[in-house]
Amino acid sequence: MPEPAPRWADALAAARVLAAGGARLGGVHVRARAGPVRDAWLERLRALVPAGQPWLRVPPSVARERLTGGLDVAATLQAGRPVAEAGLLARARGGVLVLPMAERLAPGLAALVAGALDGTAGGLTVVALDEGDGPEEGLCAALADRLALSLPLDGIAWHDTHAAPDAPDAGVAAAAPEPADLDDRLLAALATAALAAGRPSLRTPLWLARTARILAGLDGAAAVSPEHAATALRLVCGLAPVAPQADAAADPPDTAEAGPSDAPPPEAPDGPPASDNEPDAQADGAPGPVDFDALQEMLVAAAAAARP
Amino acid sequence: MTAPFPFSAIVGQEEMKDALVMAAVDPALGGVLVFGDRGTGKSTAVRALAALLPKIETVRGCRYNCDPAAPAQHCDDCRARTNGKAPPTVKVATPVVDLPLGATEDRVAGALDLERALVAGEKAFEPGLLARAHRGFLYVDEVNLLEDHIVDLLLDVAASGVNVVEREGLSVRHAARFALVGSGNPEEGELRPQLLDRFGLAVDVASPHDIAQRLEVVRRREAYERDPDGFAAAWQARNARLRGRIRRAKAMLSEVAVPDAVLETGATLCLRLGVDGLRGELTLMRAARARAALDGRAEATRGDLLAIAPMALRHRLRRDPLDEAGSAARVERAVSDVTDGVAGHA
Repeated sequence: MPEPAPRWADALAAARVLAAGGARLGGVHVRARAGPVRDAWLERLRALVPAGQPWLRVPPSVARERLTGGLDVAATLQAGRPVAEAGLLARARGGVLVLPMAERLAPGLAALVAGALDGTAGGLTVVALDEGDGPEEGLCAALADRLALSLPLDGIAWHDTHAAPDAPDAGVAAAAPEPADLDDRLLAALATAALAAGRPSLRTPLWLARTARILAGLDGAAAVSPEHAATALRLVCGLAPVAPQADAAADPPDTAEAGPSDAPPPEAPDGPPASDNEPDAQADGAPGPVDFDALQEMLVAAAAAARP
Repeated sequence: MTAPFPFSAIVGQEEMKDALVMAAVDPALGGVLVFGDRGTGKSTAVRALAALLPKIETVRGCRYNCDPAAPAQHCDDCRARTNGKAPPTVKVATPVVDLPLGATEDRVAGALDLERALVAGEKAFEPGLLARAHRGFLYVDEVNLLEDHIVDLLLDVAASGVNVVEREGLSVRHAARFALVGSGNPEEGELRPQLLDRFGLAVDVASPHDIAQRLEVVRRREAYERDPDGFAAAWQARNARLRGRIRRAKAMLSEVAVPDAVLETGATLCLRLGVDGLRGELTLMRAARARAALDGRAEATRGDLLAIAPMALRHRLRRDPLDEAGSAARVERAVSDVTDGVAGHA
């Protein structure tokens, strides 16, 4: 079976990450017009999500009371005592809430969903399908900031989506007992790169850490590798995968933000364990100690280059 | 109920934390407006504040948080129940109530209790968010996106301290004095000057660009998520110390003196900056006093005043088309002028 094209591979990785840990990530901000690629991706996600979990689709024209729940007036009048109606947000608890045409969702309703993400025990995964055109039209910022992953699906060819179906491994990570180890310096590299990608929100480094850990967990690794980190950066910041011959982009950029305080000692002795982990642009297969400085420069350069 | 993220564990954002603590010490300050980007910890700070504040004594079972020590202001329910005798009291957490975007006027001001009307055919009033926020804080996220009619309602109640509900079949009034805390992103919408003026203090928050700080935020957040109660317990001592300072400051607030010289500095600053009305000077005085009280001092100094001047005045400046600098810079410039003795009497 041929390898899936890089962008579709990333999209599949996003689906696996969401199925494994969506409730702790808030959800995903999908940017794509309605079409077969988006549908294919949604189907993949649905197949990966555990069977019993709720899966609710909420149109942007939903009434406020349907979201929050409240008194069921008709039933109350009939029964002669208060009959409450669970809102859609409550019914989606522990599962997935799909928002088609999410860019049309009114700010007040988006704030309600954002509030549910802040507070819901048992977790809620929001899949916001943003069909917005250009920067003026898009998902409400309050909600977008609370969705860890950013997935642009436009530009993926239809035939790319026919890649091999995933092994049903989403359950593995969900059952993983301990989160994978994330080296501080790797986190620093990710955080710097996120800033370079124009993402100043304080939530972004959190999303990066969690996504990287989930990716490592899905691979069965005990610690996050630079590869997991790079994938996490792409999934959270919505970056396209960098082609292997991207050595030109590895020029040390202006890392003024990094500052001397967090520069790790140049000899980083403890490489991650046995699993074969190379940063994207390295061509050789020898697993050596991880050079965090170079990795950080590379991630920052890639992020800054991909910035619109 | 999981423990909320502890106030003392919030990384950086000192100006915002100071402003919130001062607003807790003196509710007459008029609350805090927190302007800044998304994802800068604004909501976290306000929710953490709720856990930090000392408890207040209320009448047991009262839905309006009536103060047992002020019978003249009691709600109708309390008046009917106590009938002149001392009411049973209970200590509750200071309310910090969320006013969600898209809240209806019914939800905010209160309305007919639909359940009782449908089930028992009785006409009763269901108190709204304003009643729950009485003697506490009302938190409005995205305050610059708030609908006009809700803004009008808030302005009216904040000015009078009383919520008057006049609608179909209902005529209710109850005390509603609270400190308003608003947060928002100024790029997404302007605030009406009348609402802007209503806030005592205004602070700007920015996402820290220092990587070490950002990492510390992530570390603490992850530690909290792994074990909320354990994390809260670890910060419990610091929170308790801060709570003690707030309580002592509240107790001594009325005895803190503000010397004339300090008031004069305040007046000079306001005149120099062209601040309309007297609210600027009143805020300067109250904030300086709160700052001294938090420090345990019986007298406010010029230093206190100048330290809190930016947060008290940055949102009250008259627009000057000839001045390109932002409001924070203008305040700082005026403060340094006054410090250097350049500004005399106007």
